[in-house]
Amino acid sequence: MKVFSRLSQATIYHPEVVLSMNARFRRSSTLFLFIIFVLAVSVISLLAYSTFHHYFELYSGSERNHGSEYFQIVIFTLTIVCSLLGISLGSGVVNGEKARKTFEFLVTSSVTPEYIVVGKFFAHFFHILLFVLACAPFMMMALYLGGLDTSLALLSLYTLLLLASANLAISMAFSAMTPILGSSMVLSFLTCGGLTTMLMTEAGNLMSPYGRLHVNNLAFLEFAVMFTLLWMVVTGLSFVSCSVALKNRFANRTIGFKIWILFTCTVFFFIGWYLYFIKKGTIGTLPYIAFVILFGFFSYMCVESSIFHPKSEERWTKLWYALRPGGTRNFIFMLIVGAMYLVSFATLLTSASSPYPVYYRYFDTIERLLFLSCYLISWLMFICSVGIFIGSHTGFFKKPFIIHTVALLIICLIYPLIRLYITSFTRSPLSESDIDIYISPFFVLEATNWFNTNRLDKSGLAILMLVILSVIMLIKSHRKVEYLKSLVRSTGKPALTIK
Amino acid sequence: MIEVSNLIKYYDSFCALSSCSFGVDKGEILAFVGPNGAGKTTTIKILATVLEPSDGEAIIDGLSIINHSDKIKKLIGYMPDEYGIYPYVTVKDYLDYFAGMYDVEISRRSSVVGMVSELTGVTSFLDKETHQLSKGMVQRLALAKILLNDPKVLILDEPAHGLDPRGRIEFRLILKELRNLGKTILISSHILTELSEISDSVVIIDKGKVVTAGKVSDIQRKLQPSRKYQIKLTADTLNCIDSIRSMEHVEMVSIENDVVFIEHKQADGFIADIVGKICLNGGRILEVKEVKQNLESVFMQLTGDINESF
Ligand SMILES: Nc1ncnc2c1ncn2[C@@H]1O[C@H](COP(=O)(O)OP(=O)(O)O)[C@@H](O)[C@H]1O
Ligand SMILES: [Mg+2]
Repeated sequence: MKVFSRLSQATIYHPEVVLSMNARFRRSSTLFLFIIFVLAVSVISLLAYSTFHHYFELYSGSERNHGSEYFQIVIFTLTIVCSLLGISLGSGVVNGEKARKTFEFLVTSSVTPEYIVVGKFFAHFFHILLFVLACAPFMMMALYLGGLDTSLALLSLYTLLLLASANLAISMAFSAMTPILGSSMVLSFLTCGGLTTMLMTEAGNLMSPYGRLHVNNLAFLEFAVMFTLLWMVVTGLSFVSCSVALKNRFANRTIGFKIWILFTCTVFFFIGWYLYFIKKGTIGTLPYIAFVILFGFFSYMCVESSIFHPKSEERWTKLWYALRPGGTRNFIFMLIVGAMYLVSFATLLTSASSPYPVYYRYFDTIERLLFLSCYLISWLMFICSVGIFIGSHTGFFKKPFIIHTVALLIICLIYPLIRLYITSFTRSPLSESDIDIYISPFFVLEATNWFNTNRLDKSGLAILMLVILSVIMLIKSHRKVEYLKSLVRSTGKPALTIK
Repeated sequence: MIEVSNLIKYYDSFCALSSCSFGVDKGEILAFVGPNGAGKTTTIKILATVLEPSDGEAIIDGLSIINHSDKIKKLIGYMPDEYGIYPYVTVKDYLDYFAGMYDVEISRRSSVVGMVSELTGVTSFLDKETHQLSKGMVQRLALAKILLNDPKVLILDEPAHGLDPRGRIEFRLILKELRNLGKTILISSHILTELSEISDSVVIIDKGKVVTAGKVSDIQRKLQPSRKYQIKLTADTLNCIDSIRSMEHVEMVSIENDVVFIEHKQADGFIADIVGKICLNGGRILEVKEVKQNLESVFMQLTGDINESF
């Protein structure tokens, strides 16, 4: 009984939880956020359902299992969104307190740092839980459609919560160790992205390519236990490091962004090589991480500093500034980090001992290699310019959390939207797999697995499209930045409240 | 109650505090005064265990700030120079929250919050949301927050900053009440006169060093070596003041528009002698008034050129 009351004191009756719940339910904007969230999930899941329709058909043939398929889509969407939510909520926890100047009141209260960390964790975890609960209707719908494997459903819900909470804990730890929101967010993206991918690879060993579990209770249990253990380690470590960083006076010592990112990159770099050479494992993680790094880094730079690159008014200089929104040194730094990944990616893929002979085959001629690099780079450029675009248009709102969440939702929507557009609204003679070649470099690799025809010409068109879109977005961002700068000049005030 | 000895603080290579020492007795109000950038906030943050000193030691109620920071947090109430209040919560929720963070048991929380808000005058806006409060209300709320753990020592960093004259007076009244409750209060300001009324002792700090410290009256004497009076006599008896010029402590006598100005060296009750002498010589006194010298200007002299500190 006593233990129980202790436990409730530390969780649902924790002052931190009570305060945040009070604050949330007092505002009508919370309700709007929930409505938007539910709408977004319904749209994304419907789009994704129509997108993957084709694969389900391919793999299940006539015996389709609609309930299970729909549930998978919903849970997949929720997993992505909640992981991102965990990161965006968590990465402002400690340095956000500093920015709002509420930090000193917090640390001079007499409870231990551990208690504060646990409270903050649960306050945000319950927030995520509410989002998951808001999606209960979709899960009901899956039940209604029938054929849902309950144990699989429960496992995926469990996994979802563990994943989101681990991301939350990790980003809280980073928020205690870095001075600004942007840094902690990017670092959390990197770490969580890396961990999630590794986990997915592990989970993928249990699954057939598109969602059929090799139903085997032992493997099932093994996965749950392994994941729980991993969660405990990761979350525990994050809690400890967050508390240590918070411990009274040491909270003043934060570690700069660049040191962190260099550290993380180096670690991932070596892990990648280790996995490849020692474990002969997957290298699919690496391009993914490189992708997240570049994207995250660019959006960070935009959000943090898209307006203030003064000095020259000359046209080319201005364009140059718009292209590298963090200043020359950051740009060079970014290039080095990017190059590190591209080099390792390319060498690993093209080496004859690659575990993926199909990739090797694809890289058999130098033209193809060049071509694929172009494709990859144009996609990265596209995603980066989306980051720049969003950053320059939203970086100066008061509530970065909402903006980031919305931005990430938009990015999640890009792929299914383009696909839906092509499949539904154009009378395209292309098959669905052709379309994937147009819009995703990763699916290019997948597609080469199945179809050996030469699709380079079509893909060339896609590259062109991506480049044009990127340039348009960069120009628009540049204009916006110029406009904001002129506002700053005329009012003399920093543009923090510009809407 | 508070004993600061040889505190030193470096920010990287910049020395913000160089060997700062002073003490505060139990139950007194200490004014901690110095120009901007003198190191007040740095000292206070070290005392509040938010910053770590580079060297030196401070003892609060027998506990070292270096080794017992967790215990010290329980017995001090610290108000930073700049602070934020969580937005979108009611004042009551806010205070409840911090009562929880001070480990007040759930059953006692509402009574503690009630008591504290009574004391600081927060009761009237307990149901308001925190982002709707005026500056003065925020100040009271912050004061209420730091009183939640019934601290023995209050450490306030420029609490009157940004308040209007009325707010300052009300704030002073609350401080007096707190002193009557037996709290030891350390309060910083860059304006000396603002605090001289309510405080018992003063520590003046400049460029990281304590310039002077002591009881308010002593400091005032030190700062004001002479006293100046203005005496009004009937016009026909003006000439009888000549006899005063020769008195021992008198430094200066002058007449402007039928008003006599007398300056004498610091000595309590000496003005009575002067008045007696004038009367003896037949002077008919209409009014005697002390001319308060500008403390600020003396403070400026003491803390060096104002331009240097910016
Ligand atoms: N975090 C910091 N990093 C570097 N220098 C600082 C920092 N905080 C304060 N200083 C410097 O230390 C000196 C004392 O500052 P402070 O204690 O805030 O003065 P006061 O509160 O008396 O105005 C100032 O010169 C200031 O520039
Ligand atoms: Mg200060």
